[in-house]
Amino acid sequence: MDNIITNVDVITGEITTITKAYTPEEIASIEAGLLEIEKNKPTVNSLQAQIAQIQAQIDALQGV
Amino acid sequence: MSSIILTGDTSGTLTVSAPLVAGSNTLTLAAATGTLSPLVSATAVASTSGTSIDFTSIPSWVKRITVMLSGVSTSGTSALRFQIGDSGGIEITGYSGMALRSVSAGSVGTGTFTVGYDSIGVGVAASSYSGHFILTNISGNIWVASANIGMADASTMNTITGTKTLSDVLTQLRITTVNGTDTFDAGSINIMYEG
Repeated sequence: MDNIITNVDVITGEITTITKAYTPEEIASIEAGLLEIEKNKPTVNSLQAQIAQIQAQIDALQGV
Repeated sequence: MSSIILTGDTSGTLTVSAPLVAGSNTLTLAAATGTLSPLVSATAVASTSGTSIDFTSIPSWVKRITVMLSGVSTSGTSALRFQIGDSGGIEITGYSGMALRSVSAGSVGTGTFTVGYDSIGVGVAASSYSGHFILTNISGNIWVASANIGMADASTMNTITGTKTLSDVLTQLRITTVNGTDTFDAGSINIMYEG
């Protein structure tokens, strides 16, 4: 897996394109990031809990 | 053009020049002791190809960096990731923070991150990011970030806050995606930096 980098040198203004293979550490960090996102994804249970909370707020507003 | 040239203590010079326009101008400096640094705009780059965009050679005196995103889009649905680095390269661990994604339909998502200052994706490839990602140097090599980035075409707003301690002085900054494989396909990115 390659990382195709557009490099902007802020001093010279030169823009170059570099292709670098991801290191095993970078691949591991990408996978860790994806796992973290997966971990933070809402579940059916958490969404149902949110819906229940909203329903309770609606009920309270309607005086049910 | 009239100029005053100050010779540096060790080498080089500093030139202060009057503008090339008619009339008199007055610039009053604050009654304070400190270092006066310019606000520098780097070169805008089209975010239309590649998997990462790096801004390198950032000077050591920089204390604040503003990343500007205009209509930035990628080929997939992976969220935007911001990373910083020093002379040893872009650092890929040790970030700490949180992002909030709110959608006009009412749903809200939150997430923490460690690999970069990460936004939260919306699951729609045909949408584009516009907004600012701001880094400030609190002390030493500790960089605090905050961002407000909207995706109007997906009715979504991303807020990012976080911190990261680099092992050395910041010299570079990367904009990429969480999965590292989505490619940029629209928009432009630039940074401004100041001391």
